[in-house]
Amino acid sequence: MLDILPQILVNGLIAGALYSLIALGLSLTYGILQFINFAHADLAIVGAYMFFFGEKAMKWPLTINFLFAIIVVGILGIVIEHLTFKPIRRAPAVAPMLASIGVQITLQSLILIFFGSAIESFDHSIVKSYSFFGDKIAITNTQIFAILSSLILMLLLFAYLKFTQTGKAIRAVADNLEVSSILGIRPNRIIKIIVFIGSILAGFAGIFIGYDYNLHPTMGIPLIIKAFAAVIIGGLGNIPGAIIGGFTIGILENLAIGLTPLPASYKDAIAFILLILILFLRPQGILGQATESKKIV
Amino acid sequence: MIEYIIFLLIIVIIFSVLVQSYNLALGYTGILHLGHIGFYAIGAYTSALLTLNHIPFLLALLISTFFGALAGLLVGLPAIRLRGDYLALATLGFGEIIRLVALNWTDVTRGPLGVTAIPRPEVFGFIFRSGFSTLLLYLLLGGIIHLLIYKIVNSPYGRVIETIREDETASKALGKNTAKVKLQVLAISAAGAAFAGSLYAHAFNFIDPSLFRIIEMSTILIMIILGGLGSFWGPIIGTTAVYVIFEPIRFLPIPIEILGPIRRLLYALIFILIILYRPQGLIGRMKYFHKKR
Repeated sequence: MLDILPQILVNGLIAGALYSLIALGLSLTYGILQFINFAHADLAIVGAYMFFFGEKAMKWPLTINFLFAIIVVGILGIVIEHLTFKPIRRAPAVAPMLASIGVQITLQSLILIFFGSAIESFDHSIVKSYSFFGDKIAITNTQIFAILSSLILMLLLFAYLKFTQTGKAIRAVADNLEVSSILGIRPNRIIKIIVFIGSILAGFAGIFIGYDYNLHPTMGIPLIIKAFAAVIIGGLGNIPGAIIGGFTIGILENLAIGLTPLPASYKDAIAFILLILILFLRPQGILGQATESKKIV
Repeated sequence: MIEYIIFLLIIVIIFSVLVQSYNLALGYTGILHLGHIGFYAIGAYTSALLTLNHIPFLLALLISTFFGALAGLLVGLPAIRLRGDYLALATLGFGEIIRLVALNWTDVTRGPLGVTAIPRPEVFGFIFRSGFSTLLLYLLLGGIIHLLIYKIVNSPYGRVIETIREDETASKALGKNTAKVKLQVLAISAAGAAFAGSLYAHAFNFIDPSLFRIIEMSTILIMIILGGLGSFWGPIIGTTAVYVIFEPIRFLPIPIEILGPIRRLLYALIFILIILYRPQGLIGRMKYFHKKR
């Protein structure tokens, strides 16, 4: 049993890195807009399908596919924000949250209409598997790239929020939208930037999820629940927390499936159970501080 | 053709009960829970498995309704104090866990194959074999639930739950135990969903876990938003409208494999437009989304 532990941990780290990227975008936008965006993981799936489109239909080279997918998702994120969430920004949070469920179904239906309901997969000819420690750990080059680039993206995001002027403005808006707009920060511009960054991170994650799990139009649903669980574990709106939460979910679900007799089909249920437990036991998250609960309905 | 219309009417009745019970929680009381489909699944599976073990239909219907209420209490006890969006997430997780259990507990639920040959509804020895007789029975049974909910929302209790939606703090200040009332509402609402689940199982004699996916939860949301949250006729109008508007698409020359997605796409776009431009729904009176935050 201990033989497979290193492999389980590596798988957990890979999944965790991808969940973290999605959770990051979710947490960033929540920090400012204060509603739960159910459509966020579907942006990742759109990214994966755009990559697939570039590869299969257009036969573009890898780098072009990659850029194309990420840019499409980034722009799509902004368009969705502008058309659906912006008009109801001052309504109670239940309105944009329900609207995001509408967006989620819209995206899923569009994927179904254009790509069909079959499970698709990327061209795996570039994927190479490496073994370490005498075959105890097997990992592919795409997985290594996924982990490294996720970590780099996270560091870049930190640096951006911490040191640039826009980053400071973003944190100011997250802290208090009204005061920061009095001080001359244009909140709509900041929101667009945040949505663009969050969407790009999701699209990026989606491509690697496509490499690891193939493509299916409704695969965003378990993904969004895992990202929520990650965000809640870390504390809503808490950026480092989202990353810790993502890795926690990735590692725990792989441990639970690998080391217990639980059938693998329950893998998705683990994130739901964790989510529910955290909500009941420590709703402010592991890193979050207890605050007066906000009434949002 | 007439059979097809009867079939549609039966579906509309079942869904109107499901949506009306959801309306009690979301529309009237403002409990933002997204696990309603889970209670529906509990009702459908309980009733199907009981009748397959020779429990009479009416008793199975009552037991599954009771199980629904019990599940509502069990979910609500820890969850009801959570703030709105956390409650939504926790209950969404609950609904999906129910589906995963139905999918994986193959010894009892037969997993993805589903439960087949569920007995037709039967009352005191009379078996409702034809669509028309089932329709009449379901009109009566569904009508009872609608009437009960009508009685609830037009009672003093109904005014209490509406004050909870409008301003829970004020309601507390007036001495109402709002957590207890919300828990009761969730249990009643869950019971209604389980009732609808039981009706579904016996009308169509087959259930499988795919009926209870999260995406079906969004169908319930679309029906309730379309009709109008917190209005008694809203769920009935909303459910009917969804079928009247979207059923004819079936007859358009659209390839069968993209028919479902196109229908869902239209659902979703109308849903978004209503939230943006007509949040009170088709006939709702209340500006549910227009409170400033």
